[in-house]
Amino acid sequence: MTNWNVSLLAPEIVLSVCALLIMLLDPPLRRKRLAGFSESVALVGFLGALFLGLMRIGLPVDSSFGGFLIADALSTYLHILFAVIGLSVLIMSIPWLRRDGVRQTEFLVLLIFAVIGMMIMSCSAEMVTMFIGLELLSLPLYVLAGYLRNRERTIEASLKYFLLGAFASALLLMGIALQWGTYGTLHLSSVAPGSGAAPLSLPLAAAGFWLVVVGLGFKVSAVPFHFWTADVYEGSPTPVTALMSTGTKAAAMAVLLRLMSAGFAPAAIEWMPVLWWLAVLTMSVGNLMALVQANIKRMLAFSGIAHAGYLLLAICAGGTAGNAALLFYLAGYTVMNLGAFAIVGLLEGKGERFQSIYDYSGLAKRNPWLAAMMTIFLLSLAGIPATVGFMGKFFIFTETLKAGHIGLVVIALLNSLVSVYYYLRVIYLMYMKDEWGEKPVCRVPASVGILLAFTTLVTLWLGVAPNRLLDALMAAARIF
Amino acid sequence: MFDYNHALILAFMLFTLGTAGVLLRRSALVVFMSIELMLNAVNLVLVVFSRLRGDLDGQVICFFIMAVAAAEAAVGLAIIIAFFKRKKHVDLDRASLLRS
Repeated sequence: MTNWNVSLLAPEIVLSVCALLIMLLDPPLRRKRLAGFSESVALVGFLGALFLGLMRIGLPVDSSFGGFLIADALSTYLHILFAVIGLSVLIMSIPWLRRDGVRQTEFLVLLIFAVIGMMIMSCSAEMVTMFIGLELLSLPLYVLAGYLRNRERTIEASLKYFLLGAFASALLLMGIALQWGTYGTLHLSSVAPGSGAAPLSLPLAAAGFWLVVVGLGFKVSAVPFHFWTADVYEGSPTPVTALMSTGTKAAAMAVLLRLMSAGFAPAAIEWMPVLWWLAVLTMSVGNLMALVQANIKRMLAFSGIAHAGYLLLAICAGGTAGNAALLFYLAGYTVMNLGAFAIVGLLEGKGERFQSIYDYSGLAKRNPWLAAMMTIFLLSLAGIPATVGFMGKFFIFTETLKAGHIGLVVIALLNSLVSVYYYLRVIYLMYMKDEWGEKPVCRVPASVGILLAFTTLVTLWLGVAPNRLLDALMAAARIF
Repeated sequence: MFDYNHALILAFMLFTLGTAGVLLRRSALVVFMSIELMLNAVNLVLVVFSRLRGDLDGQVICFFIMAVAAAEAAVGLAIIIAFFKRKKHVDLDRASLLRS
């Protein structure tokens, strides 16, 4: 009776095999100076996962492992997204690994395992599976954050990330335990009893639910659980920061989406006010703190917090269209953030010296192409028309308005206005200011160039013609 | 006679103690121990509920949590040691190179 269809895990399996191959074969091959072996295997793994994810488009909903895993349009979409994130981070990290002369093998293996964790989170239909995925994502990230363990800032970021991440996991686990104790099941779609009674009426169930929300709130860096974000983003190596700000956020957001719009939808009236405030605080604090940052990675960290706020807005909106808007925004946010972090990673130079926004002064003269692409990403993050950032915000705000949260939309619009300032400031520095100290012209490796061209094109293309993706995502969001 | 309430109250006390430890103590090692305490409280809750419901799932989840806690300990202690090697202390209040 129980379906054990292993093929649902095909992308994860391909990636695991690649990670194991790298671990097994890298040491003997390194002695023979066969450079580039690990990178190629990791590249093949991510391309394979991407291909398998794309193959699954249009297949009917399927579940496996006793209903613990689910393959629906949402999980397919997220598998593709995570494969793209993994691929992009791999491309970004190879020049960085060479530049700073860092050991590659472990980095690539940990990167692959983190992406597998994200994928498992996205297709888990049950809370313990989700938790295992979360840990599989978090544990490699703790190590990756401190990968340059001789550098004080990096190891400090790693320590902070680990302690707060483990703390959040413990809260989440207590939530899961209480949920199981009250309902006797942990399936996301049936956590709440089907009787129609408010599922949070029992105090233990309510406590469990809120602990789960807090635990996931840490991972999406929602205010007031955001205080680790800026420190960790600043201290971690830039490719790792890119992975954290896109992958972790997307994975945790997807789980939150499944949770809120499936099992806990009947209790919406109880969690809605709290989520409302969470969204408002996350947007406002993120944007206001970003105004005063002089480090580009800290600025992008707070901007990421603000964007998590917009995503929470979409969860407040709910409904198929609201969920589709959230998924669309996730794609847009991922693409523009990957692009921005790729440029930050290129420009920071050996030893990550140039991370101040003032190091971007006069970039238009030194590297006109990089400056132009950075401008596009920043405009998109600010939500200027003809970019994916604008379209994403437009869809989310419309759906929130339709759901009747007028106050929320007004606050979000004001927030978007505030955010324009700090994005434009960087653009102003790049184009209007003269160079601040001597800096070498940045050489762009071909692989990163292709990545940047791709992200730029997607940012613009989805900003002009979002319909095809949005229609596909409507189908993904209809499963709830 | 086994009283489930007592066991649950004990678990919640342990959990609160762990949370307080994380929030109040400043040594990375003590904070880490407090997190382990919280995980053990979760295990206790699961075992109690498992017995209360006559359902073994809770105990199975317990094993998962133990495995994860072990992995977390391996990674966490390594990070704490790397931090100590570099800084010669594990005091979180003095770990302020990154502005917070």
